[in-house]
Amino acid sequence: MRLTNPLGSFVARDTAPARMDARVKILLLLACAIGVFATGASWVFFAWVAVLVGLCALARLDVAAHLRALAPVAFILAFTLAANALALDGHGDIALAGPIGIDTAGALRGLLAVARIVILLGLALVVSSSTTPPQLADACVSLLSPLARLGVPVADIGLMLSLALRFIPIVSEESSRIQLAQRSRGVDFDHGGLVTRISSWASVLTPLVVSLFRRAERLGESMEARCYGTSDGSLVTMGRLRPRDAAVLIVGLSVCIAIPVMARFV
Amino acid sequence: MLIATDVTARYSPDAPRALDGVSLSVRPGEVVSLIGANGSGKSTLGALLVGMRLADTGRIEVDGCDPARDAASRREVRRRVGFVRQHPFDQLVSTVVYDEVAFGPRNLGARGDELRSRVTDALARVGLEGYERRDTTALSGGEQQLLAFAGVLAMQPSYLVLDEASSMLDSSARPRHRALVRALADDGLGIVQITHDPLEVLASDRAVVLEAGRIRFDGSPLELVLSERSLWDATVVASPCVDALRAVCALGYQACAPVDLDGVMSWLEDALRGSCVDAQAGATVLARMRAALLGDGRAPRPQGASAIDLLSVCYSYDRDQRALDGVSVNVHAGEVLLIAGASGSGKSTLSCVAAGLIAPDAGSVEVGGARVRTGDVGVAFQRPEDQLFCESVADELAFAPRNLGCDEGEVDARVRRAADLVGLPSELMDRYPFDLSGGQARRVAVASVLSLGARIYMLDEPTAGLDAAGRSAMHELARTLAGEGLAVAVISHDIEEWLAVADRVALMSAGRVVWGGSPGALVDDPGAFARARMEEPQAVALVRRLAGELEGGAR
Repeated sequence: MRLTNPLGSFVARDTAPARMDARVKILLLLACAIGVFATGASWVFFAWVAVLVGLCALARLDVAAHLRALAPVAFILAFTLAANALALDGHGDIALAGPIGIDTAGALRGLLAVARIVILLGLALVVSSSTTPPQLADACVSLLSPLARLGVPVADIGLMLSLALRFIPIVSEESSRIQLAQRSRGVDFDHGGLVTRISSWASVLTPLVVSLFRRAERLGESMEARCYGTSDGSLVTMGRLRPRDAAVLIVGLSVCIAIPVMARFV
Repeated sequence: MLIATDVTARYSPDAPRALDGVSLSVRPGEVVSLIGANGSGKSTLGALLVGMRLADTGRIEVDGCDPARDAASRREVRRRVGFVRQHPFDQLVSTVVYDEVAFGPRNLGARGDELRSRVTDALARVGLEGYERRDTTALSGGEQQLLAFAGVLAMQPSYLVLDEASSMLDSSARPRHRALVRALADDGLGIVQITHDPLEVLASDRAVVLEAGRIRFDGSPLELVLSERSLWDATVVASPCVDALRAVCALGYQACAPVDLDGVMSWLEDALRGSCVDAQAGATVLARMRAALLGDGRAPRPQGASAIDLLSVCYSYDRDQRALDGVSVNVHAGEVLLIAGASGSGKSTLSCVAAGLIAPDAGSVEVGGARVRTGDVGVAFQRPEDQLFCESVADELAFAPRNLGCDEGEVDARVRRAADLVGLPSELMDRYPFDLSGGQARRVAVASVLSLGARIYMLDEPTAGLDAAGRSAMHELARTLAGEGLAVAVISHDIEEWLAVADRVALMSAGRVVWGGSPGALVDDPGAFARARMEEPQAVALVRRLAGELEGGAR
């Protein structure tokens, strides 16, 4: 019985981002992160919005469903914006009431911070929803493989990463299962004061953590039974980039450099 | 040979020995069933045989290799003795089938073409050819378990230890499991299967009964089923097939291990046709099987009013697929309704909707004419012991009535009643729930739902993973609840087990109820299981076959 689809989980769709090499996607996501933060407050910043909208369309991302899942985050973002915009010591440019006013420079700063978070989150969702967990894990291992020469256990990191990715849907499914069970025992998760609500979540978290530990232990035993930990640790190789992926990488990197540079000169 | 010589093991210095001087040997090509009650030491012995644990005293030897010698020997034992466990999910390390099967051989150093051919061969042996690129999490439970077999076979073991490897499979995946075990043994693998399933025991070459860490019986399963009746009945889950086997053997059939039940029935048919056995004796066999399958001469209970009504209920998790597609079903006060169907037919979703935990997209759920509220229906989900969280058993049982706002006197009364219903002794009430054994934890978890004091209960696979004694306690519980005038729905994929307990059966397939009627009518309707896209349970098939033969003979 499947109850939820956790945010950002892989959706099997034949789209351009899904066909792209996972290494390119990870590198471009990193480059975008740097690029978004390097782009200052200017009209050029809207280029990132265009990039995000374009990629969401290419990946055929279910935007409405993601927005619903992100509703709780909106509160934190609104708080960030308010914390930056409100001036309580009377130095605000637009006075509201007494010493309380709006600081336009602060508001702009807050708006930019929120916009950066939203754009990066959107881009990360495009990557995660178009890439299977093993592709992600293999790509990370492949990108980290130069570190193996320095004695970093890259193969183990890769396995840990792929197990962690595999456990995300398990955790979310298990938690909704336990939540249903406790609701049938009369727990009310939606009403009551803060203390009651937090303590009602204990009835979900305790069994969830216990069962995950048990699972992890059994998984560890099964891995040991299959002789894990005795191999020479050689890595899965992914082969060279295909020309099309290489071209996408070059174009993408150029965009990530061009936008911040333009923002500086416009 | 896989040999255990006088092994002992205990989990802590002050605990009793989990194994107390056990000796066992398994030949290549032999299937040995390891049976016994929960806590008798079966799994511990399994863990010793695969080199996961070392024996405190005594010795394990796998074709001359002793896991206690050094780390390299232990690793070699782990390679030579493959290990498949209960939950397929706990054994999968990858989300892609190819990587999953390649995990073991990769750890052994296999690369390139050798790795590829090992993976392809292993997948072919379990019947999953062409699955290489599939997503492991999207496979059915039965396929995941076959995949776990493939992952172990790719390491080219000489022996296999199966720790209740079939217990999470639905009944339609079991014949395939038994056939796979036999085929692997025919290829020369020695197999130790820990099981409660009578058909698996009958299909093996040898049966070993463990009791409190010692071997109580080691011999042919036939000798166990025919000569050691009470020991068999106490350790293996009851099955009408066993009653049939015993009755036919009493008529002169010379059985040999492993038992082929279709062969037994063919012998009886031939004997009836050749008049070696008269029709009267054949009818007696049939009557005994029907009695075992449908419950011994149980009087039909007076049926009360309808306690819960589901009317054309629809529900979907996403746009593509309906989990429930217009289900109408009701449960009367004082009856046990069996809701059966293959995995994924919508049974568990149905219980959530019926309990008011998820709202249906269309249709309605009514309890006594009003829309259902949470608390009207008590649901014991699958593996209910996974939702325990309190400091003591008593708190666990008191949790639901306290949530409902009962005063302490009422809470006390409900706790005591629930404890009585499942037979929890009062000295257990102060124990920490996480320290309990599997069977006890299940009883506590079910009691913690019963303390809700609802008039309607839904039990989702209440006997999964329990031993023979635990199962009959659950059967009795369902009957007791119904006897007190409550409405009880049991959700299970194991029809054979529940026919004798249920008053009515509803078969589900693809989110719909496709068949409804009494257990007797189900056994007599040849098309019922096909309509639910389920494999007919073997006992039902045998009953119908014999009935057909007797009818044909009478004409």
